[in-house]
Amino acid sequence: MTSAAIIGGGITPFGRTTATVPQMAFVAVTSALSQAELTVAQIDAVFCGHALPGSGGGTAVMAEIGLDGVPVFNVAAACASSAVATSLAATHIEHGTFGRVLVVGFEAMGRGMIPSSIVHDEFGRLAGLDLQPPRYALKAQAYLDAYGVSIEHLAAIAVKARRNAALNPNAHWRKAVTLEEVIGSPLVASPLTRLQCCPSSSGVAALVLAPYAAPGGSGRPVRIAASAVGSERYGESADAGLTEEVTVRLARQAYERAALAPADIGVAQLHDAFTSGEAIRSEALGLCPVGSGATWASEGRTSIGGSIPINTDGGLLGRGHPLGATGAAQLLEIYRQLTGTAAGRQIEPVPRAAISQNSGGSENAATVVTICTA
Amino acid sequence: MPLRVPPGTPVSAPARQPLASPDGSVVPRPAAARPTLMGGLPSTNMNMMSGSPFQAPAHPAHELSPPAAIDHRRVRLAADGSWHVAGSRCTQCDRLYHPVRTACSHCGGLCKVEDLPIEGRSCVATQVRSTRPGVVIPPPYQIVLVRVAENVVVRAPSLEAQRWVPGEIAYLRPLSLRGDSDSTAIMSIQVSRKP
Repeated sequence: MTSAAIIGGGITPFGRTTATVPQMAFVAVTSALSQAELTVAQIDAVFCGHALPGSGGGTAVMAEIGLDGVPVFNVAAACASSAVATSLAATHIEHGTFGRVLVVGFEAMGRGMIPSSIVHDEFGRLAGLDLQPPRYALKAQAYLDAYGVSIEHLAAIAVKARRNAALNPNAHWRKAVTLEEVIGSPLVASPLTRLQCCPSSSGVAALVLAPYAAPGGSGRPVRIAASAVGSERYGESADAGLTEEVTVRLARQAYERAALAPADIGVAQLHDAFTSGEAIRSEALGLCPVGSGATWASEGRTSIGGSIPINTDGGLLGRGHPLGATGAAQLLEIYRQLTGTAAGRQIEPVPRAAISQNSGGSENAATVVTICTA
Repeated sequence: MPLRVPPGTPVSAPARQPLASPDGSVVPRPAAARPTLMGGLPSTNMNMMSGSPFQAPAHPAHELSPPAAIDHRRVRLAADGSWHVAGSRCTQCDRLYHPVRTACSHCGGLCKVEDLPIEGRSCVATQVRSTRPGVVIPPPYQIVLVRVAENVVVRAPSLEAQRWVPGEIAYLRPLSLRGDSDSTAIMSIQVSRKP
């Protein structure tokens, strides 16, 4: 159990925008500080998560919005950047290095697939081996083959995501879609169709962290009960990278540190960059039996109002996926659900514990499992 | 019988579909717009992966001629010109890996390059219909996972139109791809039903 807490957060709309990163960061940070009733001058340090801007990108953005002079830690862990940043921030609070800190995740993205980030694999780049759609598609196909799950079950995850996103004013996609539309959209990498793939979004999410016992501002604290960071075990090729060993391993650590079990979790935010991601990861976190992640979605068990709501803000599939901002956005949604402030998508009764799972890259980045309690 | 990749003349690609050549290479894009087939073998780097991954290459990469680099993570060219799928085995705990790695993720021991079987069985495949700039194989093509040994799975493209299903016998063969610049020409692996 850590002694750090989230005491406020802010987020911009995710999607296509002409706004600059500093402009978006100003909106998200101002909103987060306002919720925590703190000012810029009361922030001891900033932990920035970003995947594409390069060295020192966070420092430059923070300087633009009046956070110059404070320590700025730049974390580049692909799609898991701001979840790793949050874990680091919580650790610094735990050890008393800093009092109140900001976590800011941001990304400005163009259209289309992102390049492989395994820079030393030239053949993989030329052959498209490390593009995320085929990687997740292989997982999806293996999942369908192994459990006799239908493509309709898998597509139901996208339908649920878009239904939740329609309730989220900051989501990239605000229109619900039907199962027929998901299955009938253009094939990207079999069996995944376009609507089973998350969009490339721009956006910023910010969190304010403080000691749980003395949060300072007036924001309601949500304790970061556990945060487990890890990477894939390269050598576990027996499963050909098709399973989610890293999430299973980190979930076990996180549950143990938080002294909680999967049955205690009331809401989850998972890295559903593609539908297969949510199916496999919901099982890896112990939220549903192995082989049932997709069927549970099609049965409504993971919907708002279901037994274990997943990705209530639309997830990556609906809310959008600005790489560096996604981890913080997931935790902000958890903060809102645990404080009863999620408005039209609020789970009732207000859950007491939540889990997030954020994956970055493949061999090269990180996976983070975070458990929060009200 | 080891596969051999005979020297050949570079071939231009007249069409958008990949062109398979007798030596197993392909032309991923029309010649005017994109790269052409890498013909033949580099003559100067035959010994690059014959032992430890720490072994220094015979010549610096910029001296390779013709411009064919080897995908050292996945393949090895022997001194006699034969082509091999490369793995690496831990010198301490004997675990086998692919692609090639420097040290064992189980015990940290140094790994040594070892040839893998070129025949295996497909585990799963995806047909890729959309890619991004920089990927030089024009879709549709498949990416296939082939199990060649216990705990060893090779991931490679297949240029064959017929869909792969789990359990099919699959053969690993040379594939050369060249990017937009000569420096990105590289020889690696494709999955085929033909031995």
